[in-house]
Amino acid sequence: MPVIRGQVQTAVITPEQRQDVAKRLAKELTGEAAPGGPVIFEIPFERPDRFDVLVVWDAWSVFSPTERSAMILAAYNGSTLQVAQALGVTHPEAIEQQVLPYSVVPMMRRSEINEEDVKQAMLAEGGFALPNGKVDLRFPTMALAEQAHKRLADALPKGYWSIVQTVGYVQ
Amino acid sequence: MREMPPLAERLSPDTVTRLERAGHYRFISADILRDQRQRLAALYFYGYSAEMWLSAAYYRSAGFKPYEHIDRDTRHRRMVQARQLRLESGVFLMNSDPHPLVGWARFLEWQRSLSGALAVPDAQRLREAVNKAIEIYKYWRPELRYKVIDITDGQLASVRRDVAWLKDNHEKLSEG
Repeated sequence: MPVIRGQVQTAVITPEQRQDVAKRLAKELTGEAAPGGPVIFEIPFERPDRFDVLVVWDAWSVFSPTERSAMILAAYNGSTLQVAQALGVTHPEAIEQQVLPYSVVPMMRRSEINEEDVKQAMLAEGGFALPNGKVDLRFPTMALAEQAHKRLADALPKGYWSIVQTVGYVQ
Repeated sequence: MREMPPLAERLSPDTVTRLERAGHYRFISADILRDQRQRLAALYFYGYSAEMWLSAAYYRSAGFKPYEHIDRDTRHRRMVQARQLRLESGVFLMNSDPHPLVGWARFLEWQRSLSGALAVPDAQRLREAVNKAIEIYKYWRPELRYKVIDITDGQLASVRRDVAWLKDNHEKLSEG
């Protein structure tokens, strides 16, 4: 019978890489958005000073969950916000784990509107550019999805937008 | 005649206080069923009581105020985080079971440890909560509702003792 030996696969992260990711995260927080940067969701609670922070970013893939949380908390260090939870996930993880269950989807004919305008508007709202050229715009709460929906409807009044909820929570 | 809204529409979001009350009442219901010799049904309710006490302790330790809403999305994000984190042994804090008693106990222990070194009695108490959850989970599963199996008095007494411990130690377990 064959012997099947598993290989230990540990990503080696250099201090420079770590610093670079931390810097990009901090920049994004100051409003300096960059292509391929993180999408940061600040999810409010009833108390205005307390937020869950969800950072969706494929650059997390080499970092452990603990490192991701620590880097998010470090980026918020000095902020007046109280971070209740700092959660970092890659886009595929976000889909698989259903942390972005509310999608905002364009429902319009190609003849009605320029497709590129729609994509750009979705990207500006935090959409994820997919390899197939489409944009996936998702949110962790219905409230955030509704706010984005309203902004998109105002910005692109032709056609309409829909909010779709992924069902699949285990009760 | 005044129309009553459906019960489902009157289910308000969870709060720490509501979870604690649910833990309390599920325990009382379980005791009534135990007294009526309905051992399986009693066990079923004891298990949910344990889940309520453990999750309430977690939320309290994570800074949720007693009446702050904990909606489905918020709870889901906590469970996602618990399912990402691993123990030193490599085992995930919380597995994919829909009602992960042991996962809540480990997540509570993790949450409490975030605020710095725990005093020895606190660390021991949190470890004990994990052990109690492991013991309860040897007998309890949500699927019990589909089953017709024999539960002995001894098994029921053991589960009841462990859930009562979680209930009695709830405040100290929650202190963040």
